[in-house]
Order: sequence, then structure tokens, then C-alpha cells
Amino acid sequence: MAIPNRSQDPSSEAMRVDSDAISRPQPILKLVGAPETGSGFAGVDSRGRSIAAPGIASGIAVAHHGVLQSPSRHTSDAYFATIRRGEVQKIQRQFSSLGEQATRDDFAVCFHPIVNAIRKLLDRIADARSEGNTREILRRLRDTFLDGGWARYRDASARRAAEEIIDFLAGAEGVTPQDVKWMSSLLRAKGLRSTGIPVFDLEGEDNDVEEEEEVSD
Amino acid sequence: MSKKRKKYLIDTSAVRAALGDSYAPQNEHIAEELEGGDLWTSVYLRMEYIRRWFCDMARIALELDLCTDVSDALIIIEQDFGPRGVKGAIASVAKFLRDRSSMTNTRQAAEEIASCAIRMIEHFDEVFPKRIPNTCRCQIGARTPDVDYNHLLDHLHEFREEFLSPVRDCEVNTFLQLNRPKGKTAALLADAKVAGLNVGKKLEEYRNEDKWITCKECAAIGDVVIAFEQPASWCLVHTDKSFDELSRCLDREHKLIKSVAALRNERRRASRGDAS
Repeated sequence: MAIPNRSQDPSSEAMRVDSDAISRPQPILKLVGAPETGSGFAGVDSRGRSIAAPGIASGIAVAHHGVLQSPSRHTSDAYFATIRRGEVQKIQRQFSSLGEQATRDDFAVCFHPIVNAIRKLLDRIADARSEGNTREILRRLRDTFLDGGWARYRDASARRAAEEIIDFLAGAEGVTPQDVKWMSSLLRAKGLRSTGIPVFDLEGEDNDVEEEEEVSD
Repeated sequence: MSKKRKKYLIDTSAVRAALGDSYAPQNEHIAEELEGGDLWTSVYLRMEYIRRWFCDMARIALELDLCTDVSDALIIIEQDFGPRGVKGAIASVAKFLRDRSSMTNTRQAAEEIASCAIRMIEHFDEVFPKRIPNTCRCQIGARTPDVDYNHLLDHLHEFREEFLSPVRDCEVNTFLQLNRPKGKTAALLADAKVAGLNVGKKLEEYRNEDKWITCKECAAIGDVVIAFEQPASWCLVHTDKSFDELSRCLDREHKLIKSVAALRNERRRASRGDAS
């Protein structure tokens, strides 16, 4: 006799797990009692062990149970890309309001939440190997806001350039080294310089190469 | 008819000021001195820039990545650089990282410094898009790191290691004509003032030992290579007084830019003069 498949039964506690979940759900074989088995048979499932199906089972319900790892242990590329898109979308919304603020005397303060959001996102994806190119773009963009660079964004064309970059990061599946190059070119073309690139002189405290004094005859 | 723009070849000693990365009065001073002219570099000068600044920045980035605490890492790095007296520079690195909230995670700090190092080269190439012919045939000065930022520190390490491996078949040996009795090195060293310079003494030593020049030896005679490479119609810009003699001997135009120390002394004198 064929055993009815009760996996579509809502009472079988099936749970749908998002594909981004690290831990793929393991199917569990659950044997449910049937009227003919009597109340003594509570059913049995294969969670964590294999079982032989008893002959008195009347149906098989396949329930998917997945133990999701805590968020801090998610490590897949897709997971970090999802995080990145979500956070950049928030930055997108913050940035889009800059146009209305561009004539404010204290325009600089409008960048505080944006720079903070970029810093937090950099923290969050710091260990994501697949998001290295994203981090570089975020660093370069962030650095154009710092040390007075914000003033350049009073100009609509500068804001459009940054928006193009933010829009890309808000939607891209992956970010490549070529993306870093074209975004850097775009920033440079609009005069948006990454500020604060120091040339540390590690030759010594006095960087002057006054090697020779007057040579006597 | 439009006036021809003056062509300035920027020596390593003046590069920071030309990039706008030096003491502010020096940056302004060089900008005034070179106004209206075009800034040029050479493959050899670019090599010196990468070797002197980029490679050290890369080293800091890689050492940061090997440590578990950023503040401790900077102390270790300062000790690691030995007697070069890099306190000020390390303090600048610390400030740079603090400004970018990267003092809590060594991987993040390493990437910030690595990113900075790559952008230094990009900045150099932007300020100096024009290069004189590579007559000394330096094989490494034109290299640029090709980085996938998903593997930033790995690629940085690879580039740095390859860059710092001495070239053993360098054509600079032919260029210098060390072993030719009537070659250009012999002519240069015949000048007593040049022979008395530190670089002159080193060149003499190499000639006497019939030394085969690799990148290691070349580092000690860079001024001579730069002086020999300078084309006739370019003006060499420097803060290094050895070029006063080298350029004179080779009949080349040069311009001495005030050093940071000289400008600081001027300011001190000016403020003492104001005070009195």
C-alpha cells in the first residue's frame, strides 16, 4: 500500500528557509501515527539519526527544520552582498536629500550621517573577502567628503557622480576591480579628490635631502 | 605665437612639494617657482618614488595585518624601522587611521594604509603624466600594481616583493659607461667638485671595483643617473645641493628649491624680527 505523502500538510511544521541562510535545511523524515496504530504510537522522526520505518506508520511527512546560525557567523558572499546593498540603499536615501541642502552655510554637517554610515558599513563588511572592491570604492568616496571636500558637493554634477556610484553599489551583485577603476575616474573627472593621502617620509624626521654643503676647492 | 612652456624635471627631493604633500610653505614656494611650466618625471624618478614611499607604506600595511592590536602594531612598526627616526611618520599614520575610525581592527587599518599606498602612485601619475625618455633603461620604474581589492594585501605583497627584487641584468651598466676610460662617468669624475660629493665617491668606488650595478648599487648613485638622463632643454628641480655640481658639470639647467628646514628657519627669523 502506498504511504500518503503528508508533506503539504500545514500541520507538519514545514518551515521555509531563505536561500541566503548559511545552514541548508536538512530534510527530516517524520513518521506520523495513524488511527490504526492506536494512541500508543506517537510518531518518530529521523532528526539526528536514521531510523527504519516501522510497518505501522501510515504516512510520511517531510519537515524541513534548519537551525540557523546566529547572524555574526554568516559568511557567504551572497550574505555580505545583501548586507551591502541594504546599507547602501540607506546611504542612497541620505545622499538624495543633499540637493535641497546644498545652499546651507553649514552644508558640511549634512555629511555627518553619510560618513558615519559608510564607516559602519566598512566595519560590517570588513572581513568579507568578496567585498574588497566595494570597500575600496567606499573608502575613496568617503575620502572625497573629508577635510573640506564636502564643499565640492554643492555642485550638482559632483552629487550626480557620487549618486551614480552609490546607485551602482546599491544594486550590484558583485563589485570588480574594473568598477573601482571607472568609479575612481568618474570622481577624478568631477574634481572629487580623495583627500588626506599623506606621503609619509620614513627616511627620517627631516625629509630634506640637503646632502651636500659647499664643497671646498 | 604662443610661448613655449618651460619643462621642469622634478627630482625625488622635490617630488613631495610638487605633489602638494610637503610642508605647506614649501608646497606654495614650489608652485610659485614653477608656475607656467610643465612638470615632468622619468621612469627612474618614478622608481625612486615607489621604492622610497610606496614600499614603506606597503610594509606598514602588511605589518599591521600581522598584529592583533593597531596601537601595539604601530609601536612594533616604529621599532621595526630601526634607527630611521620615524616617530613623526608613525604619528601621522596613527592620526590618519583615527580620522578614518580604523584603530580597532588591524585588517581594516591595513587596508586603509594599503589603499593609501595605491592611491599615492595614482596621484603621482596624475601630477606627472609626462616622462622623459628612459635612457637609463630602468626596468621597474614603469610598473604599476594591478590590484583586485578583494585580495588587496596579497597583491600588495606580491608587487612589493617583485619590485624590491634587484634586477641583475640592468642596462644601466651600459648607460653609466663605468669601465670606459673616456666614458661619461670618467668625464664626470674628472671634475674635482663632483668627485668630492658623496655620490661621486660612491661612483668612484664602483668604477674602481668594476662593480656590476643592480638596483641595490643604483640606489646609492641615483643622483648621477638622474643627472645623466636629464635632457638638454629641461630644467631639473631639486632641493639636493649635489645637483648644483652635477648640473654645472653636465651643463644642464637646474633650480634649487628651498628646503623645509630653510623655510622653517626663515619663518623663525621673521617671527623673531617681528617680536623685536
